[in-house]
Amino acid sequence: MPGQYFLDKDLIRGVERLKQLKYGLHLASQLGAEYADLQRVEIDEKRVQIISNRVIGLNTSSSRGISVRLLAKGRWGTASGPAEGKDVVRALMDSAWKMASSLPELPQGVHMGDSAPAQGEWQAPCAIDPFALPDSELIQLLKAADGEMNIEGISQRVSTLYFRREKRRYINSDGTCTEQIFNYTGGGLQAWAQEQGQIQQRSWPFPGGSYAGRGFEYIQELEFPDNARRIAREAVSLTQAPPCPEGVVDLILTQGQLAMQLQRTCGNRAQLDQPGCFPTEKLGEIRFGSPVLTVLADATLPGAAGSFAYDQEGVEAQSFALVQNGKVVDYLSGRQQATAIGRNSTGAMRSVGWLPPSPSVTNLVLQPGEGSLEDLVQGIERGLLLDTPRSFSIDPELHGFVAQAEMGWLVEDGKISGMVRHPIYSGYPTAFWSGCDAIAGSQAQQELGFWDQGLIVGHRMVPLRIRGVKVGSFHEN
Amino acid sequence: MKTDEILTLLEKGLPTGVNAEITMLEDCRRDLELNKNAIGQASQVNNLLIQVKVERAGHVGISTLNSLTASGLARAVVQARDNAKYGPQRSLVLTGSIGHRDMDLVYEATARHRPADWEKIMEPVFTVARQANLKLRGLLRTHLGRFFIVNTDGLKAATPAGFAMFRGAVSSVDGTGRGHGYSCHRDINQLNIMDCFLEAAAKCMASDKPRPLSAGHYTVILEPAAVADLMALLVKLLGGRAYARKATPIKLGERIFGENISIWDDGLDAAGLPIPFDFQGVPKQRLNLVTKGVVQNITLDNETANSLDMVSSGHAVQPGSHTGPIATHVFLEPQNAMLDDMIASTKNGILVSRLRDLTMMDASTGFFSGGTGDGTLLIKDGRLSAALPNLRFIHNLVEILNQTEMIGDETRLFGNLWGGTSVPALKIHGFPMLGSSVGKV
Repeated sequence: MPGQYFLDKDLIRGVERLKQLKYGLHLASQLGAEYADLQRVEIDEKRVQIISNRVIGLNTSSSRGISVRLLAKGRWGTASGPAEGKDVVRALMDSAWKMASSLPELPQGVHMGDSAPAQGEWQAPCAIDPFALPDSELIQLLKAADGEMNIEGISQRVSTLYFRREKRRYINSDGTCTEQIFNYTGGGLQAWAQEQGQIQQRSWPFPGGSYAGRGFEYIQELEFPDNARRIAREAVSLTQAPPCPEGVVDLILTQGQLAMQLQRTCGNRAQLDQPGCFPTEKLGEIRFGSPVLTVLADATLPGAAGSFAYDQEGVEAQSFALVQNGKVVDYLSGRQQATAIGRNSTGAMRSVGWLPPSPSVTNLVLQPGEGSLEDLVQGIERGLLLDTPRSFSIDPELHGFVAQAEMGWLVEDGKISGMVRHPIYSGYPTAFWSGCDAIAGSQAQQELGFWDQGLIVGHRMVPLRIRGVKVGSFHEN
Repeated sequence: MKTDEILTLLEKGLPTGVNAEITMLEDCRRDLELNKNAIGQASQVNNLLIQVKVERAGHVGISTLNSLTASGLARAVVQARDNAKYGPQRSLVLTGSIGHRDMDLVYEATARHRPADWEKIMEPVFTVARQANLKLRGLLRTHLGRFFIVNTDGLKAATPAGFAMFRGAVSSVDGTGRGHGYSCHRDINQLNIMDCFLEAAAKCMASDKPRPLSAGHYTVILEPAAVADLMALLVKLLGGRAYARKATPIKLGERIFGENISIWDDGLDAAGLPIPFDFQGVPKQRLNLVTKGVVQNITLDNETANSLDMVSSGHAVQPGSHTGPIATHVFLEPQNAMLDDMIASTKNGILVSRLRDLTMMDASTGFFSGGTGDGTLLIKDGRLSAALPNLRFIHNLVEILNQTEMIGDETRLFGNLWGGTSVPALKIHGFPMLGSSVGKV
């Protein structure tokens, strides 16, 4: 049977590749490394993009690579490169060893803490394999969405699909050996309206698309046709809308806007030992925001963009609070970073491609409150509802930020009264989040995934309300 | 493998009877992290990217892979042909076999640099930092690469390149003072690491213990590193893709900027980080982008040039990049103002070391947001009078280059393996700063 033949061939290849990694560990041991780990990654990608009814890209990519890390005299040496084979493993191990051993010895060394050796395999769910779908079907789907966006006033329409499969095998000198298959499926729509020198954009579900850790079924859940029509109409309406008024008002952030806000002011700052990290002194006493806020990092969510069974140090995926009732209570960490502050790894080491891992955001989950979006609106006398991030810049040290949404809705006396264009808001995180007084219930929950620092991160968000935020419109700034 | 062997292998991989192009980018980057006046982690990253483009029945298909074997290339060609079936409907515009200038872009010292040399280079700097009670963190990098291109129009070319860079951030013990130093060159022996450190240390000491600033419009002096950050935004607005999509305020032939602004791109100028040809094999040449405030040219690659019925300007970017054609060898014309003169002539202003986290808010108008960093100082009556915290702003790139009242006499180079930006300091009036409090909030 041909299928059986390929299965056996894959099996043989798998065994051969594991041997290569074990060979690397053997070399590290011979060289005298105190610790070593290796990962082998295979990545297959496909991107399809249509701009205004024209196929702009139908690209495929296939890449393989290996990375090694080792400790010599308390120094890390890391090396990574494409391709595979014993020769590559030997060359990388040699480079890593030379780099680590040629540096002056670090008296305090590096401590990895205790971690039970993990052995296991895991595969992300995938009901419909996107790579098995014919190109004609993918293009038909995008063209249908493109057609829905083709209304008067729209100057450019962009529809995109992206699929990525990563096979990751990891092995370390503590006895861990894992193999995982990640399925990332994403897509998005964007409509641009241009009038009188201004361009307005609307995106669904997120600028640059949204991603999940499952198969093509995620794209079906995004309901492209209905949302295509809606965002096109909204983009055209925005060109006629008045600019966002200036002042200090109450805000409602919907899921996409909130995801960006939390990623940059909470997720990135919880990455232990990375620039801008929350201070490590007085953990549990550091105020993040108001007591209604609880934010989890959950790498165990089935089908979410930042889920896995083991991180890239072989530590099991975990679900834990980063922020509990408004206080910072934990970090996204790996073994070394956690050990350095007397804690255990939270299993958040992720790798960009086959580069060595670093503490990274997995899935951020905002703990839902009660009530609906309408309930949040009713509690506002004068304010704005902001939907979908357009830009976000933040100071890496003081964390002051300026954020821009694609679209704003004025809220007056508990009711939505009209659309405004170019809404921006600014602030400092602790003061900003301290103004949070209400979070919608779980019925309003939405899952999103987007690229951050070279990785796809997941978010499960519900709308929330923030009191007293400085807002305006940059064109009138 | 040797360059000729690789070119031959790539050439053999070209399909017959169709238009096709194969490019290969290979590089090896070695980084040494510096942390708290000590050598930190050392890492090496090797990369290889092969991109195959095939035209089939008026459609273009692209596939990429990262291992160089004859069988792998053959599979990639088949995949590119398959992708072409539903791929973009256009012709694959190829660069013919035209000559380019041979350049020696790899210095022996950079190529032979070894991790064991790092300690020797850095220890004197660490010693001074410790004596001054300052903390240095940063990066020392060597980067070697080769680019290859073959196509069915007979082009067969390759170029190696080498690059070395030092980047350091100096902070005071309490963390409020900041300074930044940078140096890059194709020859590692030309890096001025101690000078960079001393400059950063001086800025750090001057910027210690900042005081808050109220929001308002200020005269701002951007040091060259900050101007280079601005240029990174500007080159996108001058790119052919933004122009074709009307996502730029740039209008060819019109005076958009102040008369004192002249910007050009020159991939052959040895004062930058030259390369002989772009990533589609088009020979580099000088291209005036802005002359006395008038936009003269936009940057194009073969695709955007074809769509605009123009000719490539030699600005195709690396395979895998999504920016579209942009200027990668930028020069902003210096004038005759010394930095001290700029400060002395400022009654009430701000000296900015770097701009960070710049984000384009609206490409069609040039509005962007961002912040200052690594040392921001208040100027009062022509003298540096106090330290300021990092400040945030929303401003318009076109307005900035219309409100430039003085331009520095000395340029600095910032770059990477395949290109660089050479810019002086700028003094700009009416720069809107949002207010800032002090400390971590």
